[in-house]
Amino acid sequence: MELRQIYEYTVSGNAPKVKELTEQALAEGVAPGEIISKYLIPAMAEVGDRFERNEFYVPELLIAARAMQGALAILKPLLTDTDLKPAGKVVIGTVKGDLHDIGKNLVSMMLQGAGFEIVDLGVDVPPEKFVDAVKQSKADVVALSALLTTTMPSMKTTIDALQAAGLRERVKVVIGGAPVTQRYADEIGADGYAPDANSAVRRTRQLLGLA
Amino acid sequence: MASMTSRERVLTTLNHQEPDKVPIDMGGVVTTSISRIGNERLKAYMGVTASNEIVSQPALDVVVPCEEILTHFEVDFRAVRMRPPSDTGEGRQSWFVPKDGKGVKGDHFFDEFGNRWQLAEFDYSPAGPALANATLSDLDTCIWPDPHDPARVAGLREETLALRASTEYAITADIMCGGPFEQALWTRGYEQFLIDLHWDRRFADKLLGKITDLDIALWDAQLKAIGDIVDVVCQGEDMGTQHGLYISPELYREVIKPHHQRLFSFIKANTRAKLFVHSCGSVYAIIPDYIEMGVDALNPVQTGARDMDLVRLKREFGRDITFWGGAFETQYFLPKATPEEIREHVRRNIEILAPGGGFVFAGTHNITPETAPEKAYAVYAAAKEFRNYPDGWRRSS
Repeated sequence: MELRQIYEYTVSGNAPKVKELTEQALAEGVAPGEIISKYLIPAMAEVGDRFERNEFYVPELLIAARAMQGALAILKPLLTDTDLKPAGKVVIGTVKGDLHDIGKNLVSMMLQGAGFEIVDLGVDVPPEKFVDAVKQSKADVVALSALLTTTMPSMKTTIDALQAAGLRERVKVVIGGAPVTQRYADEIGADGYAPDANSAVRRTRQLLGLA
Repeated sequence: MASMTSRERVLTTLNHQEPDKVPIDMGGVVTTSISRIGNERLKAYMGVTASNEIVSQPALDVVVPCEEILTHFEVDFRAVRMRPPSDTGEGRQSWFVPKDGKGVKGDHFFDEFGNRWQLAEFDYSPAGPALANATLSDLDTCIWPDPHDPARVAGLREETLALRASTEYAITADIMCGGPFEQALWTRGYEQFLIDLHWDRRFADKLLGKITDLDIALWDAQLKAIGDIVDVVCQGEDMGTQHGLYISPELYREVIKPHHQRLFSFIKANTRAKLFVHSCGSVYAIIPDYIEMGVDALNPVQTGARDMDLVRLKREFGRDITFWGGAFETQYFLPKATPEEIREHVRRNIEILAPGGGFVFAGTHNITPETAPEKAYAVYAAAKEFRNYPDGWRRSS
């Protein structure tokens, strides 16, 4: 089989094909980590680039992510510790008072597609829940989303809570969402800001010294 | 120039001619107003004592300000809205105007489609789509709002006639139901519907078709009742995000546009009123499609979104579509600006949008709860100050 087809079918969001080819590749003895690092991650990077260039829109990003997730569901249980290390661990959630999740989900999918391990806390997440998740997961990054101008202050409250819990120095905080700006990130002491899903990946990689 | 009535002013600008003054909207549509909390603060600031304003859209927690405020700001519009049905069934909340007109009590409600809306900080977000797990055949059997319930239009003609007889305001009307695309997102769930567009096109198209049928049936009832005595009919339909359309322009034209064509054609064929379409976000790419389908006015012209620069929009599309919005930016600018910055922001935007007509003064969305009342006041004070044609917006010094 032509392994590169896994890449191509992921980019085009053909989940059944990606699943079929992944199973076939495994049967032919290809290492799970290799499928992820050589085909799935580059495919999602390409999807992110096309999204940023307005060649792909949200639906194309979603179906590519679903295709990737279908393959990951097969591959992840097969990974050994030495096989493929995650790029880092990210705790992500929409902050307290805010129920919007599509932006957060897109960022989460793209981070997953870039090889990060994701702890998704969902929406309307209170600061103490972020704190607990960072403690438990030993995350490298906390990613906060807010879609409302009225819930943006919860980002600051969350950063303050991480500080109070003595965790602030241990994690990088990256924020995003429709009303959020770099200026706001600077104001509340976040480490990074990203205007869309693809730059969230780039920013996170930069913050961890991976790019 | 001889002074015009509000109706003359509005129709003149919608016909792309210059009226005596830029028409001012506040509350004529559920996306051109102020939040309930913002309104309470504005009243306190202005010393206005009115109470019990109607919540015109509970999910947005938005009100129509009282007459005293509308008169003070020289607002040119008054609205009539489709009423709730007599029975919404099974604990569902009518779409959207609740029976007591006072918003929603409690932390959630179910709309007429059975979608759950959950209270966030101030307003409600879709958080439980009724058709999340539906199959193609489920679309034939699901419980759906009844557009033919006579309660929806009961007394509407009398209300509108009375408004016309006693005032000269331009009258806006809407059906209180989302357009095919946004309603599909709410009813199926955002991610699932966007995935359906690629993976289950038959389902997506059937759902869009059903919603379009419903919208048309609601407009049929509404226009039979008042189509001959209103000036502007308003349809909501969010197609944009902050960064661009939800979907590619190509996919829009292939899948969504045929439904829009059918809906807009029906409306245009059944009333002489002007057609107003709302879409938040960056919709630059499909403005030519809207113009082609006969949309007269675009709201809210979200200038903070990508490709929504006012100068370019006015230059490229200003002769063909009326911009009903864009006059002040409610998301990034207004909550943080000083009254003096607001005055210049409003002046500048009027200067861009007013020439040649085709402009109704309104913001990029409702004024938010956290916007201080003196800022909301400064917006409309500046509108009054700079609204006069031929060039009342010119910098004086």
